[in-house]
Amino acid sequence: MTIDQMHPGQKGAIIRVDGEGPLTLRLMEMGFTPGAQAEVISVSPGGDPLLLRLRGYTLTIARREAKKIICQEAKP
Amino acid sequence: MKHIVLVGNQNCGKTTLFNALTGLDQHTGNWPGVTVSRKSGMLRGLTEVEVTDLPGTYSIHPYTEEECVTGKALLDGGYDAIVNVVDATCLARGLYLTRQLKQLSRPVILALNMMDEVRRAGMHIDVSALSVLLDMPVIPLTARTGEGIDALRQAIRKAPEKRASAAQITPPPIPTAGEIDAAYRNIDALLAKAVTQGRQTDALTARIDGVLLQTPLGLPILALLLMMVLWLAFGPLSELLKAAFDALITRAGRGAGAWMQRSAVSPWLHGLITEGLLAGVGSVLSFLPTILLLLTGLSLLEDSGVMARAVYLLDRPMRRFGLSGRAFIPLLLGFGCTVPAAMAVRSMSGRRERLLTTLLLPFMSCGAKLPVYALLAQAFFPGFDGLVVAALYAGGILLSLTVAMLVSRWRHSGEAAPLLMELPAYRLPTVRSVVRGMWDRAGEFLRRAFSVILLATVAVWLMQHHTWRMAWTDEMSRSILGRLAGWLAPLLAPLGFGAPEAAAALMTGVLAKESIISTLAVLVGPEGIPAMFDSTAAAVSFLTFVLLYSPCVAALSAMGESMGRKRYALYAAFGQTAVAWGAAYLVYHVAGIANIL
Repeated sequence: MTIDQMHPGQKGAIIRVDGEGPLTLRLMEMGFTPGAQAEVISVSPGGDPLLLRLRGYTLTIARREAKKIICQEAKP
Repeated sequence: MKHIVLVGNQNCGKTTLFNALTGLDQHTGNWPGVTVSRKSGMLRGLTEVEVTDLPGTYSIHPYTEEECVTGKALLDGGYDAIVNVVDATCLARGLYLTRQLKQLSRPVILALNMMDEVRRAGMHIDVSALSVLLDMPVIPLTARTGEGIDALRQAIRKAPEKRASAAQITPPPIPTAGEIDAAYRNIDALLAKAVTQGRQTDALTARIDGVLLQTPLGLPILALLLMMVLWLAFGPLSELLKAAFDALITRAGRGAGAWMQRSAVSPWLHGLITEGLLAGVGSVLSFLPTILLLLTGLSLLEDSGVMARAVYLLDRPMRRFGLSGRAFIPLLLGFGCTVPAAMAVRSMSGRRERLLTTLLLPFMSCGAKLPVYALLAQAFFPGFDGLVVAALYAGGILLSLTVAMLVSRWRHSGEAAPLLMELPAYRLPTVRSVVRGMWDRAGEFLRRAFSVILLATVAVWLMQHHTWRMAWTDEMSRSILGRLAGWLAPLLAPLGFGAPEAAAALMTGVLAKESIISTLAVLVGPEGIPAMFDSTAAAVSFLTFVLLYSPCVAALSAMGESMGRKRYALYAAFGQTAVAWGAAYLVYHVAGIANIL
């Protein structure tokens, strides 16, 4: 699944970031690398952007970018 | 002399550390992107060391304009060592940059900042193990409280004085996805050896965000906070302070006047000092409390981390206007002063959005225009003056939204860049940093009052009393100023304020907006300002014009820089003045026809 499909409170392990170009590399440089744990904290009113917790910090990400991040849902 | 550069992620407390190291105060905020250009200071206690604070970045390979500043400075050389500041509560991401810095083969000192939060979260970091694994000195510290600063100073002193030129530094190639993955694997392995994780999240931040970001209460709470800032700046507290301050200035002015009369100072000098300096600079000075409270309120929002939440909450609504939530910060700062606001624009990614945001900044009525509003609103709408000032601010915002909408429809060139931003933990600003911030802003205000504005008032007074042939005159129409304003006044007559004094004030206002009121005070006396306008409609028209016409030169220059082209600022100046003329014309005639005012 992709990160944008996860619900608030759901956690997942990153598998890969699809696409190329500077934004994809920047996503990886900010810590979206295979194996990293990400948790969706909340979705902004209107559904975009999303609030994630990754590698010990919180960040906002647009739904469009979240769609590119493939992850494996962690079993609760 | 030794030269040290401070490098780190956005929001890792780099600027706070810079202040602690140098004792210079630079504005620090709790949202990403405070340091927009490089700033330097001397290391306190070690005069032979210069420290430069570089804008925050996640990587040597820049993604935004301000990150370019850091990337370029690192590759250009000219420094002896790098102090890499890392937020110790999220080491992995910080160490990614550390690894890149190491590739530059320059000495790196790792400053582990926010150790107080690390302890509070129950985390444990084995500093000596980390130092061995990374092969660099590691100094644990808390920049906010000053803990560990001495140790860092010692480490800086020990760093060798050996500079590399740009040619000696090989820029690392842009990494592939596989290389980034490998780097993080390496970091994870290293952290497994040196760090015991605690309770991951900051409980208080999580709880506040739970309400602010996850319930519909977020936007109303945000609006309430903004209103509290406005109430702080314009409410009873501010009025009380202003009245006290006013009385002080008046008394000082009277005292100086009486003293000059007694000691028979020449009438020429007496006039220059009382009508020029005291009336002009004094009228600006009396607004110090209001402006100080407004700026302090705005910086409290920034430093506490509330501003970053506003960016997140407002992202979606602002996209309708071709902007992203990020544009909110510069726009809000614009209510203080357009210059720092334009500098904050540089932390935004996406050229199109930077351009649009910069063009909208002048619509956010800056603090220096406030004295004009307050004075005229009080004279023409006694009892409702607060409402009138609020309406002016709202008018500016509405016009800016209209312009944003038109521009994004007209130039259908894609959306604003996606929002990818770190949300910092909430931090209570320390009393020391708030007081120091106020002190600095007061200093900045006084410097302006006694430099640009003082010069402007003296020049205005001299031009008011001299003809082109430098002969003395008491008739405004024969004076230099009268002649200059006489050319401009007919252009303003259709707006209801054709008096040459008004034209002169608007001209000097382009130098600094505070000069509008000081010029009027010099020309007609502080009490005579309301009498310049024949009708309430004319006064409102004048206020509209002041709200919208060309930004001051300092603002234009900062805007030109953030837009990347100087001449765009010139277009902005003319465009803005044209909009002001149109709006004032409309306001004057509609008010006149409807006879509502």
